[in-house]
Amino acid sequence: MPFDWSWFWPELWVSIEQTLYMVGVSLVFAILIGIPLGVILVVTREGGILEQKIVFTVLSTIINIFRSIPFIILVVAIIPFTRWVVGTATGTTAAIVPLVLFTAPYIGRLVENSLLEVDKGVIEVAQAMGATPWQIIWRFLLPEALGSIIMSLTIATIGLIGATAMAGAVGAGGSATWRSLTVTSSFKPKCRSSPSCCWSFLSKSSKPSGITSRKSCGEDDRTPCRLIRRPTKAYRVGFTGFSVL
Amino acid sequence: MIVFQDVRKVYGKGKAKRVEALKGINLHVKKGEIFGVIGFSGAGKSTLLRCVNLLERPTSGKVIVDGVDLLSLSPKELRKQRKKIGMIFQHFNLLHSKTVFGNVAMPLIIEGRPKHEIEKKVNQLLSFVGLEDKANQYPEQLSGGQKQRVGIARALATDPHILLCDEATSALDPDTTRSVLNLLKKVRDELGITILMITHEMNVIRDACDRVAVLEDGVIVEEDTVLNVFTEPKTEIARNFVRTVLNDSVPPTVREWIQRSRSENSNRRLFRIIFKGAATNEPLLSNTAKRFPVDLNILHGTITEMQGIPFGNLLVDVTGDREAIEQAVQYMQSQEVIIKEVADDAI
Repeated sequence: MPFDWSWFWPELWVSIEQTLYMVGVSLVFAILIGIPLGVILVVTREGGILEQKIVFTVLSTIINIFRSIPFIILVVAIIPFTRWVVGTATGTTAAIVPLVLFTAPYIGRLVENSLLEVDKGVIEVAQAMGATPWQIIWRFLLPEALGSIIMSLTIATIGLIGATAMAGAVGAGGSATWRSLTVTSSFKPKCRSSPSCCWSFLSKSSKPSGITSRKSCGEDDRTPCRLIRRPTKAYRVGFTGFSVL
Repeated sequence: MIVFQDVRKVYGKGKAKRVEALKGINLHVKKGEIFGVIGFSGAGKSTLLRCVNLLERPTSGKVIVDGVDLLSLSPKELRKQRKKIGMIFQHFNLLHSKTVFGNVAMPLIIEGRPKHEIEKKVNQLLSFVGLEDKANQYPEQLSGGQKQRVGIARALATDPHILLCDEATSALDPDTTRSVLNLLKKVRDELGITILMITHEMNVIRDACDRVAVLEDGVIVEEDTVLNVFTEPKTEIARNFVRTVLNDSVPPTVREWIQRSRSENSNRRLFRIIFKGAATNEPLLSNTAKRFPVDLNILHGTITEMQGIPFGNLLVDVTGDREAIEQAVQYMQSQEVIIKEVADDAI
């Protein structure tokens, strides 16, 4: 059967747009949460300028918990929260909620590391100058760690792009979903590399609802975000199974 | 200016981890002097220095700076007091993200001074330390000595009354050390700032300080003017420190010769003669030899200058009969020199 290219390019374009939207918005929120998180972790730790053992332990534990949940499970687990925040649990905008919750703690840890790399002597200088804790953070810690923080944010962005692929699970669309669908339903590749294995898995488990709805869609509606209109129960079970795998 | 009253600092809790860094320090640094604290690493020097601006809080005791009991202040008042205490560091601790200008301006920015005032003050400071042409360079582009000059300019930005120097020259080569010490003396002479420095280098104490305290294991074991410590160190550790600058140990070949000749001739005795100031101008040995029937043989000696006062240390072999030696020694003692007999094994 010859491959139908007519829908290929518009869908590619739409999915790139969706990925950029998800990454962009999630990154902004994740940075807004993550950087203060990193700062709090550094200043409240033992020997920090505003030592608060309880705050540090609680925050650190929460971050550890969030960091250790695989993204795909996080997506499913916080569906009620997502629905409460954006009014729906599916679609591109809904995917932003788990993306932020996934990336912010990650950025927090990375920023924490960057700030810890700042020479202790610099903090000593600031204190000897009579700087307030806020001035130490704003005028000394953050500017001195800026280069390192930017590097960290680059790493976090890559991680975030990876996560948007899995956000396809809640019908977020984006380039990864587009790829998984085109690859598995049309190109039928052999599972040679692990990423494409992953994508194949992903699309296989999303096939029941995904493919059906696609078939039922009209010619104009063939945007990936519409492929999965409602995550059916089977679909959720499928995903949980996939994550367990 | 800086008064320490029975200051103690204990790190760690529990018997096993407990480390007593300062064991009851009493110290009085006078206004306008350069006071040095010398000690080996781990003696508690850094802790002592950091107690002056409470970067380290003493476990007990009193720290009075400029008449203010620092331990009784609220955090806000303490920050205000700290602005009157400048500090420079061994590794300079400059901000790499800021230019030389930005670094020196930092304390003023924190104080919230207006821009034009900051600019004027920073330029003034940079020309004081001789770096007016480096204002727009970054710390990486500077040499060690220049970095320390930036550090000094930054420490002076808030017009402090006191400057604390934490091993300020330990990372510098001898030439740069000298120029930085000269700058510190200029700071004291022209701005009237009291300087407290800690170091492990006795030559820094010799070249810059007026008074010195020797710190050993958290205790001040000796405190005196630099000249007195150099000429008459009272403790073994002070003697060792003096020896690092003024080499008074006898070379092995000379030592062997002394021991051999002493066993052959019992009519010789060894003396160490230390003289300072005006005494160095007198032909002491020559006069002694003329007046008494003794032979004087200089085996080893150093003559140096400290704070403009010449200072000599000679090892002299005196030969003659017992009475003549006795009289010669008495004569020399009357000439304002310190004369000590040296035992065989103490050479």
